[in-house]
Amino acid sequence: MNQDKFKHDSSHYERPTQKYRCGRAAVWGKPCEFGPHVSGKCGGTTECRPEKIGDRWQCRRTAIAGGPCDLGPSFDGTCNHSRPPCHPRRSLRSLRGIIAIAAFSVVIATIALMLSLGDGGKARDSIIEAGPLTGGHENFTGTEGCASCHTSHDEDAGDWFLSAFHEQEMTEKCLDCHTFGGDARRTHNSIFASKAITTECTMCHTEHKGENANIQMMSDSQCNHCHETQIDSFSKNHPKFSDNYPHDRRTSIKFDHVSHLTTHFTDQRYSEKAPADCIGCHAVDTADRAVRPGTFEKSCMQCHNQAIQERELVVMRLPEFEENLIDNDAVLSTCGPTIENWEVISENLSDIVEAVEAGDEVELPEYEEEEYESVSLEEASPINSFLLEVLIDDMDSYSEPIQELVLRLAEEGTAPLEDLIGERFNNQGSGRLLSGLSSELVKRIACAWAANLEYEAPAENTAGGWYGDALELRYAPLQHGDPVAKNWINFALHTKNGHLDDTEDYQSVVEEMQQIILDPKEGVGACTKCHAISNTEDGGWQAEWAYQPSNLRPYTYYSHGAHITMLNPEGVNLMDPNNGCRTCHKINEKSAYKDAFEQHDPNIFDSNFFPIDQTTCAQCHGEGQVKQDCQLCHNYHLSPGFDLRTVENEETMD
Amino acid sequence: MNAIVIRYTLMLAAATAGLVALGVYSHLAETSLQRSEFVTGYALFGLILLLAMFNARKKLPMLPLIRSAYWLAAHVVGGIAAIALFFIHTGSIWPTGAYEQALAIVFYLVSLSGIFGYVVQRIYPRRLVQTDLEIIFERIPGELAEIREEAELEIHECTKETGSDTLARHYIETLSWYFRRPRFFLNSAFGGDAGNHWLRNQYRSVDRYLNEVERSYLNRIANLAGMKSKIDVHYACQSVMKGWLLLHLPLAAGLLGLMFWHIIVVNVYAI
Amino acid sequence: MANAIIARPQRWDAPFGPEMADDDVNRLLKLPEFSNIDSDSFPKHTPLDGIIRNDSRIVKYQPGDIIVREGDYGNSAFLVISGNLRVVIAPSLPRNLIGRQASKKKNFFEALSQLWTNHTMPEVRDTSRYGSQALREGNIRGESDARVFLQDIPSVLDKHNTAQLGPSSLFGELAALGRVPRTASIFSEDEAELLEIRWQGLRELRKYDPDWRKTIDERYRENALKVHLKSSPYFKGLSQEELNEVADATLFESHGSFEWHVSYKRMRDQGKSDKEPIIARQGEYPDGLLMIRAGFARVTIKMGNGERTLTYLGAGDSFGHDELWSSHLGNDVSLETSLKAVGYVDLLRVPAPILEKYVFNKDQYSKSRPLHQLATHAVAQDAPLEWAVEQRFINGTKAMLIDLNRCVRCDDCVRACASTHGGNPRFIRHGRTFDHWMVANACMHCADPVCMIGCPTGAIHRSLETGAVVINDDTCIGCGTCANSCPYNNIRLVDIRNADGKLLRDPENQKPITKATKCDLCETNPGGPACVRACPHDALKRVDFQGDETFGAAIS
Repeated sequence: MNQDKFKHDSSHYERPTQKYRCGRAAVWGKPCEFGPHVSGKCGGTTECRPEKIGDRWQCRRTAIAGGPCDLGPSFDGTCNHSRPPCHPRRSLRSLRGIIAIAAFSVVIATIALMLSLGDGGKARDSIIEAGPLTGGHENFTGTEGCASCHTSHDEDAGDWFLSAFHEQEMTEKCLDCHTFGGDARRTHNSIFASKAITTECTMCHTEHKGENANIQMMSDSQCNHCHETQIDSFSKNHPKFSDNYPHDRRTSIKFDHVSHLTTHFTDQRYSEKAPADCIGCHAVDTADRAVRPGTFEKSCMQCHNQAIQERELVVMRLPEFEENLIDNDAVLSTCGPTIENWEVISENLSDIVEAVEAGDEVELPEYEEEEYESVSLEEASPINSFLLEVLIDDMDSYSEPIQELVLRLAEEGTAPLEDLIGERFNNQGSGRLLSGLSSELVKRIACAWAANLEYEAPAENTAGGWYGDALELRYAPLQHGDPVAKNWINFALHTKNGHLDDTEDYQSVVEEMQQIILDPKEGVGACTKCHAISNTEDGGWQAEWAYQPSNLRPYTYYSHGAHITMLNPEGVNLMDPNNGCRTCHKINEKSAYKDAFEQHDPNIFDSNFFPIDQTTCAQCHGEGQVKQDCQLCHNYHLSPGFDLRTVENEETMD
Repeated sequence: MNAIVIRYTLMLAAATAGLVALGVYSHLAETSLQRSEFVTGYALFGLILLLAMFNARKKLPMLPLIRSAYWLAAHVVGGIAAIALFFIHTGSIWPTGAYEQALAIVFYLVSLSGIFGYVVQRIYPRRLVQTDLEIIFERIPGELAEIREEAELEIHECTKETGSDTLARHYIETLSWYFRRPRFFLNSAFGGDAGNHWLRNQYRSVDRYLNEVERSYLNRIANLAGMKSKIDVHYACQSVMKGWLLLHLPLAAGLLGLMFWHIIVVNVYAI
Repeated sequence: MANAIIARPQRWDAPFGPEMADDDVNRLLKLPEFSNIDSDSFPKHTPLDGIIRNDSRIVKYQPGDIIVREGDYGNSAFLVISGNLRVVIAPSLPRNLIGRQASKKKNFFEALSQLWTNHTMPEVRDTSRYGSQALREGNIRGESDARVFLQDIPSVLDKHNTAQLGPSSLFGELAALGRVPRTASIFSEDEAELLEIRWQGLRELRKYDPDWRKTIDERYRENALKVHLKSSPYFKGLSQEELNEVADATLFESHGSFEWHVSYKRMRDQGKSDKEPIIARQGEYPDGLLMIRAGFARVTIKMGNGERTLTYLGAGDSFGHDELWSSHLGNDVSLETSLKAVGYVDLLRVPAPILEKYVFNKDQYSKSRPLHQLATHAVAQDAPLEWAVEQRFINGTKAMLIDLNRCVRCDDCVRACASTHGGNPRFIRHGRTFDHWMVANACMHCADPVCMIGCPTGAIHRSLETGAVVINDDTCIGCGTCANSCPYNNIRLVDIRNADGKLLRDPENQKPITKATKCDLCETNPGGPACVRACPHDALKRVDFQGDETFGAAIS
C-alpha cells in the first residue's frame, strides 16, 4: 500500500548495515534525503553541489532526489535547498555491538581487578567459597586458611594465574601430617609389579564436601576403577580366597584339634577337665582378627602339666673307665676323705690322735689300692661327650677328658661346665643353661664320682631342678616354660644350624647329642612334642615357643568380634556343628595335620580345618543382606598414621 | 513446515541422547574415581562456544556455510541442552562463592532472555501480518512525520474552511500528542488495543461540537490515526523483536568472559 | 478543433527518433523496400510516410560499432540503407567485446575477504575499471546514446566466421515482433547508415503490406516457428518434410502489448486492471491447438458474474488439446475454458487437420488433467493464484517470496545481500503482500525479461552460466532504460562514489554518474543467493512461478 512511494527512481535502497541513522528520525522528524555519513557526521546540509557551466551555476541534484531543481543555485554558487545539520544517532544494531563489547570489557576489567586486588591476592581469593571442610581439616586450617593446602592461594596475580596451567602439589601438603607404611604415591603404598601408577591423594579423596562428610569412604566402583579384574560385588564375583584361607602356615603349637576333639576330650578320664566348647580355650572376649587360645596355664595345664616334670634331661653321666686316672690325693684334698678313708681312720683313730697330739707325722696305713673297678658301666652322656668333643663309645678317647672334668668339677664347681658350654654357645651365654645348678651340688657329685663311687642324694628329688642321681647329673623341668629346658633345646637347635665345623667321627656325637635333647619321646625333647621346630630364614632351625598369630595381611581386616556377637546371641551353642564357630571353621577329620610337623618348613601344612572360602562369607554378605562393599574388609593404605611432630600447640610455645 | 519440524525433532533427539549419556556418565562417575564435573564442565564450555558461533556465522553471510535456519535450530536446541547440562554440571540451582554466583546469574539471564526472544519471535510476526500493513522499521519515523503533516494540514484546511477552531483546539489538546511519536508501546506489545480505544474516546468527546464539514475532516484524520495505530503496533513489536537481543548478546558476551574466568579459577584450585 | 484532427497513434507524440526531415522521408520512400509499397493500403491514421517519420529513425554507425548483440532482447528491426555490416556466425564474439561480463565465481578465500574489503560508504566503485571499456557516443542527439565498438576489426574478422550484410538487408524483425533474443551479433564494417524501425512500425508494415508480411512471416516460420515445433513433444518423430508441412500450415499470432510493462504500469498507477485480449473463448469450437511460444496467457472459466482464473500458461504450454482429441474421437465438444493474453503472448496455432494427420494418428495422447477440473478448488484456495497473475508475478523464475508469518523483520537477508555486493544491498525488503506472503522488490529473473529490451550497451544480459539476468557494471551508462522498463521496480539506479564518499561526476557536465543495479542471484559468489542462506527462520525463498510447486507447496 505504501509501495508506490518507493519507486525505483524516487527512493534509495534501505541499508541496515549502516551504523548511523538520521538524527531527525531519532526525534521523530522526517529524515532527509541523504542520510548520515557513514562516519556519523551529518550527511550534508545542502541537496546538491552546484557546478559552474560556462558562467552560470547549475543545480546538480541527483536523479533520485528529483534531478536538478527548479530554483537552481544562488548567484554565488551556494545551493538554495539547505537545511540545518542533524546529529545522527547510532542504529540499534550498532548500539548492540557496543554494549556487547562493553559488557565483555567490564567482565574482563573486573576480573583483572579481582586478580590483583588485595596485597597478595587476599581480596581476589577471599570471595571464593569452596564449601565446608570436614571437621578434622577445618580445625587446623583456620589460621592459615585455604593456603594450608592450596599453595597458590593468596599469591601474586601472575603466579596465581600461571598456577592454573600446571598441577597442584597437594599430596605434599597432605603428607605434612599423614604418614603411611610405604610410599604415599604408590598404589596401596606398596610396590605392585603390574601397572604401578603414581597416585596422588586427591585422586580418591575430595574435600569440601561438608563438615560431616566421610572422605575416606570409597564405593566399590571406585575401587574397580583401577583394578583390572572388575568385581561387581562380593557375592557375585569376588576372587576366590587363597587355597588354605585363613591358614597360610602351620601352627606354631602342635595342637591337633581333631584328636583332641574326637578322642581326648571325650575320654572319660579327661572329660571333666576338657573344655566344653571352642570358647573354653579361645578367648572370645578379646576376639579381633584372631581369637587367641588361652595360655598354657589356662588351657593346657589341666592335662599336660604332669608330663612336663617327668621329662628330665641327663646332662652328665659317668661312663665306664678302665683305670682310675684321677689323682687320689687331689681328690682327698678337694673332697675330703671318703668313707673308706674314714673307716681306716676310725680303725686307727687312737694312733692318729696320739700322733697328732705328739706332733708327729701321721702315717696313714697305706691305702691299698685294690684293683680298680669302675663304678659305672654306663655310657657317657652325649651332651658331655659333645662338650668334650669325645666319642661316646671310645673309652680311650673319653677316659681322660671326662675324668679330668670330674676332678675339675670337684675342685671348681660349675665353672668348667660353663666354660665348655661357652665355647659352643658363643653368643648365648652359658649361664642360662645351667641356672639353678649350684656348685655345691656339682662338687658333691663330682667328689663321689672322683672317688669312684655313686653319688647318693640325701633325699629323692621331688621338687624338680638340678639333682644328682647315682651316676647322672640330671635336670628336671619345674613347669611348663622352664627356662633351662628351653635353653638346652635352643642350644641343640643352635648346633643344628651348622655353626660347627665337625669331623665325620665327631658328627655322630653331635647327632646323638641333638637327638637326646630334641627327641620328643624322651627327656626335655618333650617340649618339641607341642612346640614345632621350623626353618628360619637363614637356613637354620628354631623352636616356636610362642603362639604365632596369623600372618599379617595388611590390606584385609577381619574381626571375629563383630561376627561372634552376631552369631552368638544368648543361647546358641558354639559347638553346634551348624552354628557358632563351626559355621565357618569346619573340622577336617581327615586332615594329615601331624605329618606336616615331620618336616620343618612351616609353609607346608595341612590344617585341621577346611579352608574358609568365599561362599561361606557370602551366605550373609550377599545381595540384599549384610553389607558387602570393598571397604568392609579391605584397606587401601598401609598402616596409615599421623606424623605427630606437626601437631603443635602454639599456646605453650613460650 | 514439515521440514522444519523434522529438523527440530532430529536435533532435539540428538541433544537428548547426548544429555542422557552425559547425565548417566555423571552419575556413574560419582561412584568411580572420575571427576564428572570436569567432563560436564568442558562439555558445557564447548556447547556454549558452539552457541556463540552462531553470532560468528551471522557475520559471514557471504560464505557458503550451512543455512542460517539450521544454525538457529542448533542454537535453540543447544541452548535448551545447555540449561540441562548446566544443572547436570552444578548439581544445584544456586552455587556458593561470588565468582560462581556471578556466572550462574549471567547464565540464567542469558537463557531466560533467549527463551523470551524465541517466544516473542514466534508470536509477533502473525500479529504484524494481522495489522494488514507492512512497514520497514527504519521508515517508521518518516511515515509518522508524513502522517503528522497530513493531519495538521487537514486541521489547517478545516479551520480555514469552517472558520471554527474547535477541532484545531481539540487536536492540539489531544491528538497532536498522539501523532507526535509512537504511543501505547506496552499495550501494543502485549496485544491490546488501547490506542484505538483512546482515539475513539477523543472522537466521541468532540463529536457533539462539530458540524458536518468538520466531521468530514475528522473522518479523514481518523483514517490517518487508524493507520498510525497500526504503525504503532509495528513499532512496538518490531522494537521488541530487535531489542531483546540488546539484552541477550551483551549478557552472552559477559558470560563468555566469566566462563573463561571460572575455568581458570577451577584449574588453580582443583588440579 | 478536436474533430478536425485526424486521429493518430498516441505514440507518435514521441517519435522514435529526432524529428525526421522531409528530405530523409522522401529519400527513404524511394528505397526499393518502400517504393513498392502501395501506400493506399495503409489506413488514414497510420499512413506509410507517418510510419516512416515517426516509427523509424536513421542511425549512422562508425566502423566497428556493434549494432546488435547476440542474446539481447530488442524491439526494433534494422534496414541497411548504405554501408556494409558483418554478422558474426561462429564463434560468438567474446563477451567482453559486446559489453557483457564473464561471471567468475569467487573462491572461498575471495568470498571471505569480502568481510574486510566491503565498503561502509554506499556504492563505491573503483573507477580504474571503467576505462577499459570501449564506449563512445552515438549520434542520436537528444538522448544519451553510447555504443560499444570493436577496436580491432581485422582481428575479429580473422578469428570469427562472419557473413556480410549489405544495403537492403533487413534484420532484427524476429526480436522486434517475436520476443526472440538476437541470434547473432552484428557490427558495422565501414561507415553505415541504417534505418531502425520500431516494432509498432514493423507491425503496421507487416499488417498492411503483403511483401513485408511475406518476408517477415517466412523468416519467422524458418527461424522461430520451426525451432519451436521441433522442440515440442507433439511433433516428436516427424520427418523434416512433415515438419515443413506443419510449419507451413501453422498460423502465428501475437496478442497483448509487446511492451506490456508500460501499459501495465500505467494501468496500475491509475488503479485500473490491465486489458487482457481474449484469444479463445469458452464455448467456442476449437479449430486448432494453441501453442504458446513466448509470454503468458490466462486460462479462465466463467464463474458467477466474473471470470475465474484456473491457471496460467507460459512458453511451451499448449491449450485446447483435450477438446481437439475428444473431437477427433467423434464427440461434439467446445472449449471448456477461455484463454486470455496476460501482458504479451506469442502463439502458434496448429490447425486441426494438421493434428489429425500428424499427431492424433500416432496415439501419443497421454491423459492429462482437464483444465476445467481445476475449478473444483475453493475460491479461497485459488486466491493467491489470482493475485499472482494479476500482479504479473507469474513472470518470475526467482521471485523472492517472504512468509510474513515467519519473518521477524531482522534484515539479515538484506545484510547478507549487501555483504556479497561490496556493502550494498540489491533489494528492498518490501513489496506487495497477499495474506502473509510478500513478493519483495528483488529481481525475479523473469521468463519474459522486458528489462533487457533496449539496453544501448548490452550491459544487461542473461548470464550464460546461470541464466540469471545480470547487469555489467563496467558497461552500464546509467541511461535508466532497464529500470524504467521493469514493471516491478526491481532495478534501481544509484549514484556511485569513490572511496572517500564523494559522488563521481561526469567530467563534462558534472552530473552525478549513475549505474543500474539489481539482484544478480549472487552469481559471482559461491553458494548461490546469500539471502536464502541467511534467513534464520525459513521465511525467505526464491520461487519459480512457472513451476507446479509454487501454488502447491510454496504458497498454500
